[in-house]
Amino acid sequence: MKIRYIIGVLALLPILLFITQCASSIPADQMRFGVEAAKLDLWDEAIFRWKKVLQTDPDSASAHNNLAVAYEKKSLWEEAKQEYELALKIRPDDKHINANYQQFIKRYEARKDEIAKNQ
Amino acid sequence: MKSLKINNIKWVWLLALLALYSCSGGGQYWRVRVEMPRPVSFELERFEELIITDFLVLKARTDFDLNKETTEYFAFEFEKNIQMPVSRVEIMPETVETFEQDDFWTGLPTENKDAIILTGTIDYKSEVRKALVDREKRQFEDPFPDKTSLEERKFYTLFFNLYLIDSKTGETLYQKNFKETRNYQNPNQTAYFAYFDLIQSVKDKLFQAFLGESLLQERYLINK
Repeated sequence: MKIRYIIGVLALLPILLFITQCASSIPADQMRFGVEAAKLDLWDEAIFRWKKVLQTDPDSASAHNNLAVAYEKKSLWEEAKQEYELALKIRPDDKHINANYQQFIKRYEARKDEIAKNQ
Repeated sequence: MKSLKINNIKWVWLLALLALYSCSGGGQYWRVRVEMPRPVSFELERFEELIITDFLVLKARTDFDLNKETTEYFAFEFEKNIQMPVSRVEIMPETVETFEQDDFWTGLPTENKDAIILTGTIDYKSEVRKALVDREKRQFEDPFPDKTSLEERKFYTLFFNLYLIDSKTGETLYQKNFKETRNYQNPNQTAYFAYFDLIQSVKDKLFQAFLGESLLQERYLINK
């Protein structure tokens, strides 16, 4: 009887977790949707999703980072720089954001004149 | 009966783990390969026509016509890769100073008034270099001593000085120097064959500048 009770509680646990964690994380869904869209090369859709995340959570370093990558992809150099800087301001020690920024800034500095001319 | 209960507990834990995994999104970071565009150095396609003239060969070769091969190569490659008419005008710049003479370039016969002229100078050199080359032992316990031998390499260098000139004003709008060198172990390597290796490198760099070709880079997308 006792074992049955324990099994019953444990069986309810995943359902409870699902309801409390997944159902309440709409920005997380948007974030994930954006990542999936980016993986499919749908960068405009990804930008739309990550901007939505920032509407509800303006301090999301991940959303700023992801947006920066998307802007880089779309040759919006100044916007990308701004987003990377915001992401690093929020999470300065994040190694992934730093890795992205280092790669970006190398290209940005090398072509600063061309970028200014084209914008 | 007891083993059945143990199995039930195992299944519940498995379900709990699966639910946790599905909620966590499976991972926090994704490393993605993104084709990043490069900025364009010179917007060639804002003109209506590209005119390719003859190139000034600084030292003529006896084995092949450097000017003819270069103009034909560029005419073919530009026609294939850019969305604008490409034409040939057979006019040879007399000296290096000609590139600075606006009048010389404004008088060219063109179909479109807003055309851009591609011209320049070429120099192509070849030399044989000899050097003592050390060969490393293949294995640590190789009984034979290290071999040092005199080896030859054929070096070819292409100097390419490119000008883009506005047909309306004769003004130079873009100028870039290229120096491409390649060495070949094959002693029978011909200058003609090596030339196409080198001009292809020049073409790749030029098209990067004009078309802003993309570059594959890695970036991290973050999920949380």
